[in-house]
Amino acid sequence: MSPEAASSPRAGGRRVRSLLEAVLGGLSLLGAVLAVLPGRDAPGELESVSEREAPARAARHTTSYTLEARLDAELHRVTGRGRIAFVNTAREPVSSLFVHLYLNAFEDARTLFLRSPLRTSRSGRAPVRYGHIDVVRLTSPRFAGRDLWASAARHSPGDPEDRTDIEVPLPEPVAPGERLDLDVEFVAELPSIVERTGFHDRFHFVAQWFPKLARLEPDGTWAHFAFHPYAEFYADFGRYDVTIDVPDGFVVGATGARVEANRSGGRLRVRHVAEPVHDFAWTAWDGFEQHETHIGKTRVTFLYPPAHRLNRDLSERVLRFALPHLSRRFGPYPYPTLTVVEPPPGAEPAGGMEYPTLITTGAPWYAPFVGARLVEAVTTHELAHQWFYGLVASNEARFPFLDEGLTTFAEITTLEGAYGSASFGRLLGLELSGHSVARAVGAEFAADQAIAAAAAEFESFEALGALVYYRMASLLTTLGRVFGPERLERALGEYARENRFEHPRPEALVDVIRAHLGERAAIALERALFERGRVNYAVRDLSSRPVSSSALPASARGQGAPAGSQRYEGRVTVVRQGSLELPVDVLLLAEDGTRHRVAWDGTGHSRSFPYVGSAPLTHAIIDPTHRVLIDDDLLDNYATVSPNRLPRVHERLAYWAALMLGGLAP
Amino acid sequence: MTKSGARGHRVPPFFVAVLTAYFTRAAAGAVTALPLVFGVAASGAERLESDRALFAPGALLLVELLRTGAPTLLASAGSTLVVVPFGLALTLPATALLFVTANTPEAPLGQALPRALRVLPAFVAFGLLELALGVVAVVIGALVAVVVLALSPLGALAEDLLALSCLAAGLVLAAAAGMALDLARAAAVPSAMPLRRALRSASATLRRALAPAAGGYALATGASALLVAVGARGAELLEVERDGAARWVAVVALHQGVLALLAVIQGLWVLRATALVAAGAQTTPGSPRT
Repeated sequence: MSPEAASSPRAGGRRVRSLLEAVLGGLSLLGAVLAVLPGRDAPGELESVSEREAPARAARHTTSYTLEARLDAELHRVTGRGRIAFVNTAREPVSSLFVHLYLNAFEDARTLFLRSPLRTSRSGRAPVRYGHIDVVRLTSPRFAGRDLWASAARHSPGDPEDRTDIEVPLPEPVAPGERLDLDVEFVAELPSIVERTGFHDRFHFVAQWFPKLARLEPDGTWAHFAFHPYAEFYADFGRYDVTIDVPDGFVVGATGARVEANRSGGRLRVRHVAEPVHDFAWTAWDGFEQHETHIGKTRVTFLYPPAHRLNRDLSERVLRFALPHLSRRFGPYPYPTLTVVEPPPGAEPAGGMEYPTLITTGAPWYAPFVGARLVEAVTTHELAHQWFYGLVASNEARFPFLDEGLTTFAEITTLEGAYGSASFGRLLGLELSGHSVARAVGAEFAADQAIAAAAAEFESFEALGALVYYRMASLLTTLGRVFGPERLERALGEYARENRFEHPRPEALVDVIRAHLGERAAIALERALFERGRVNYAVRDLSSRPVSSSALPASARGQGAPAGSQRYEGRVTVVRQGSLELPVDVLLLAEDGTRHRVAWDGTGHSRSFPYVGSAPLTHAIIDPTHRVLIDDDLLDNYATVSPNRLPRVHERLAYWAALMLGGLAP
Repeated sequence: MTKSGARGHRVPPFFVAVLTAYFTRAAAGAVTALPLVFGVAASGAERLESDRALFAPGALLLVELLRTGAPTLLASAGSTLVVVPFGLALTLPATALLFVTANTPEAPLGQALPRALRVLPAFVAFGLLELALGVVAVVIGALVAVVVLALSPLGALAEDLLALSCLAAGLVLAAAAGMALDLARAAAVPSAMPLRRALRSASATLRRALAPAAGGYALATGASALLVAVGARGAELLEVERDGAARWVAVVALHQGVLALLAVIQGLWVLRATALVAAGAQTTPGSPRT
């Protein structure tokens, strides 16, 4: 999900949030160094690995669904039934199933989701009308039609107020490699649009709408969890074959490719098939405008409100860049379709979300005029999730940084590739990059929690957003700038390709960083992820004084220096605070314009650099090219003996003040 | 140059008034900006090798400055609000001089200055009234806009456009108040007439010549807006963040040029307002002569 589409529940807020949001309204960056140039990272070789192994992986479907869903658009009710085909791909027998009923997060104010401090979700909106899902029947031919749901637990483990995580004991275990077919009937009462799902007037966004098996880990345990407001999802891959039945006149968008469509009896029935995917969402509204196009071999369908044509144009434009760009970097987009849904006004909580082959964007109609790239950012972010969530299906609840952090990095670097240093927007004549914003937001929360914390462990969604999305993106950018952008691209490309249709843990990411960027980079990554690792460089001392050249050793006098000419010696001391050891350059500037660049490997807590030159030292700058983007405070990297009088700042502010004093009226 | 020659090429007082309007506005801007400049410096920008870095593509250091210096900058912004009235006060005598020289273009500057000082209290009153009316108009527009947004059953686009229209109507009303008060200023200048009589005179002028007055004011406002937009685009193209003092000098020249032209536009409008009021006075028995 895009953080821009979510508001923070944290009262009081942080100053950076108010400052940045006041200027921009919601955000991303870097460019050239991280943009992947075709051919530089041997994509062909990597893709061949991926393409060779992908079919074998895709064949390992664990959970497949064949469902029929009928929408009552007046009652906002979905009646469903169908078959779930479960294969025990674990090493151990399975004696019970865990079924997620995510929609029950919205059934009353006592659920884990809605009893959070602000009684709202990421979107900041509580449901006006509650919604829930009831399983009517769950049977299996293997168990002679016995209703398994009758023996299901009544609530989530350890939480009598929540019904989003239900254990269903099986009459007999399912052995490794065995298949179990389950027939299910259910009724989903949609809530008023609350978060990613629900209805607003006649618009319906139907997500987390069916009984969904939790992810079965290789050791036979289930990765199951009650639906927490900060968490997202985790599931096995499978084949989804879903027939959707809506009133005629409604426009339907859904995961996967449409393989059938027919109208009869005032109803429209469409059948969508997708594989291998791990979720299925759909939308139906009689107000959508529809636009179809192709980007490469992918058929892209845009569904949007009538007044949002300009937003759709922006989405399409950025997708034409981003889809091939991300495919080059992280492996080809493997599905034949992509559906882009922009919810109508009033249904904003459905916007900014990712599902396999279907993404939702969202921005007000005036977004194209505000200067910030709101539409482009959210579109690119959700598209990047097709890789980091969709194809590389890590546990979003336990390790949200693996999908959101990598996605934000991919978003920022993609937008930088498309728009350069104005990747975040162009405001008041200034080019604002996503890296700048991400760095600032992440730095505010750097000391609070570990990036690798589970979603439910974060003290607020604001903290999660700052650390999981933005600090993680800045951390990766830092590793790239310090250890080599091409190496980082190779590492992330390999991670994405090797883990396609897999469920990697953080170790997989650390391993590719170690392999491509080296041990120091891996240590820095681990410390930053798991130990709240930070770094701050600062100049502690800057001084120089005149000396007689004869007092200097011959090696320090400088060749060609006239005999008896005035010479200066001095010293610059820099310190490193925090546990991250990253190499930096230190730039020494003298009054005569000479510049000396010295390197510090970042080990130790401080380092002094001697200076000898023909002019006094005036400035010292640590990391002048801003490679260490996660430096806690960039401005204490600068020191001077002659404070800058800020002529450009004064001129600009004086001009604006003069304009404001007079206004535009004569 | 002979003494008579110098007298023959005497700089028109109105031109001097326009120049004064420009200089005072620029000076008032510089003074008003000072607290914020000090705030930016105290937030760490004074340690930079050059403040070009704050305008660099990507704005990394500018965003960092806003983040780490937020408390200092907010305090500076508060100080700026205290300075604003002084900045406005600085521009008032120049405005008065502009109206006086527009009213009596042939009078030497030596006579215009004392007259400008005489009408200054009235101009202060007009300024306060204009400020109050403007605030009231904009606040009413904003309130109606909020109510529309809260209650309107229309779709979002139509709802937003209606709200924007309300806000725009508030701004137009504020501008209309400004125009009327400029006419009142023009009426007050010749005989330092009391506020109420000047307002009545402005009202009479509007009844008699609404279209010319509104047209002239709108033209001047539109030209000013266009000028500011051109200036902003020009400054962007000059890329002040890049190396070279010449770019910065060019931006300074551009901005000062914009301010000077704004003063010219203001002067032209004042001439127009003065002429409209004078035309009314000549046709209205008992009205003050201009």
